[in-house]
Amino acid sequence: MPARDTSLDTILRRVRASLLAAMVARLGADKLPLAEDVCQDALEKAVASWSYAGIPDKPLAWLKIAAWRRAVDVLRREAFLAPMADDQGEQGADPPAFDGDGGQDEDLRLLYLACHPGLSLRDQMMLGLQLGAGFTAKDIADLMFMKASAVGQRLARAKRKLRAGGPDDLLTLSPDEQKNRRLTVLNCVYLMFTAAYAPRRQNALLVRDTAGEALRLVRILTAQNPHCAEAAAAAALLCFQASRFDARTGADGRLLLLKDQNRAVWDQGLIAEGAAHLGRAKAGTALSRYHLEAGIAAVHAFAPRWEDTDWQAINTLYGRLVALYPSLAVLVNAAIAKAEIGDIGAAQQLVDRAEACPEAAHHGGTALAQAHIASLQGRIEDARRYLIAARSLDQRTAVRAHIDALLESGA
Amino acid sequence: MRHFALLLNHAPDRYTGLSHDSMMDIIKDYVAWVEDLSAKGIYQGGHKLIDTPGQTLTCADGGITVTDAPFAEVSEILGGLMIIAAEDMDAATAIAKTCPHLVHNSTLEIREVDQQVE
Repeated sequence: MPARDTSLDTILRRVRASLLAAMVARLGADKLPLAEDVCQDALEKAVASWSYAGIPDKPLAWLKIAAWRRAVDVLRREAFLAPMADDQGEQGADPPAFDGDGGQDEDLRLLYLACHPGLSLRDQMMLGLQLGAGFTAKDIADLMFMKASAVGQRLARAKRKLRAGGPDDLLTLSPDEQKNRRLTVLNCVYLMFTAAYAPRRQNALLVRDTAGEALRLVRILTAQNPHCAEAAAAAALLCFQASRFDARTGADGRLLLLKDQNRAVWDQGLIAEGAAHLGRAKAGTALSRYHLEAGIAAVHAFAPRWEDTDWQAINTLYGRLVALYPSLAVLVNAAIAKAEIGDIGAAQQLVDRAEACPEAAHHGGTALAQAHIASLQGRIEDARRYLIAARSLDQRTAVRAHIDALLESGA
Repeated sequence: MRHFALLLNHAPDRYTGLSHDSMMDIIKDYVAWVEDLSAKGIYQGGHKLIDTPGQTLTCADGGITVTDAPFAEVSEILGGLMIIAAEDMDAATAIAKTCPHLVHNSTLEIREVDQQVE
């Protein structure tokens, strides 16, 4: 297997989403399969030519013209085979009118399409990655630890479902429907980001592209909907989290917790942008999980040192988050926050509640939190037991190295 | 610096029936190589030839006959050409040896470009 040229992969991921969005905008969402076919065809032809001529300066412009020509061919043939059909032939005869990059509206349109309420969240996210972010089935499989063939089948099924719902043309999606889908779209972008943000042993470039794409999409979302407090809060959250991207792994590839990170590496530009989004998010009356999570991330972002962390503020925010959205990860993190202010009893209760979640059996984080709380109480044997359990649950090298370091230090 | 043309041959059916992913993996190798050499100022340009038969012109008996190029009968066809800059033929050969074409195919011909004095 030849080494993958990641730079071409990255370029293709970036242009694929915009290319598809432009074609769908041009052909209509009911022609999604045709748009996908001609984009794929154009890409294949393009890269074959680039393998001799080199990558052009404006790959997207190149591809849009190639894809549109192909679409015109197909539509002409269809019109010829079905002479009674409507005005597709005329539409196909239009000269290509692509100049420069598609607008931001175009980029989000496919994401709205993917976030159909009839699809599961997971399907929405996978479809959003493919249609809205230009990921291939192989990319998605790498990101989600699935087989490419399984991803392909899921995507195909999801698209069949979309089509079964009738021609779901976003050009005609009413403002109300758009508003209804906005939170689903936000959640989809948030899931994209978290899929990339979880520490994993995998293609670092793919991870970075995923996070970057989620950040780009959430920025467009909040720019387009300046009065949507949830969008502003989600944008703030992603900025704060992304600001720590480079600080999260040590030189040896080991996962570095907030406590051990070199805060000088945190991206101050992203932190400032996050703060601006958060300021706008607070202006509204809505309070979402994004508000609370962004608030917690902000407290960390503005602590010059770990010792300066305002744990009281974090605990207040976690208290409200647990009431609003008691997911496994929220409970575990809330427990750690309680432990930080010395409220071991409350910490124990929260982590026990987390352990009672059905998914906890496969979640190394719960066992890690148990280990932490046990060691705080001086229950060294329990702590070791939980650490070993956490290690067996987590296949990720970065996490395992972290646990090994804890075990060695005799926690 | 002298210029050398790399003529890249492949079997006529080399790329027929390949899956999209396998095709992309091969292409990525070539693109990576071309981009790398371009960044180093070695790569001067190139053209892929379209994989459909061309025409052969034959001049005989005072007339020109045009026939379809007989793809089926030949063992290899020219897939494209690349121009690189190198000190001499030895250096050009050393560079050409790293071309992924020799991983995915078996023949590569190097010819020096006859440069005009400007």
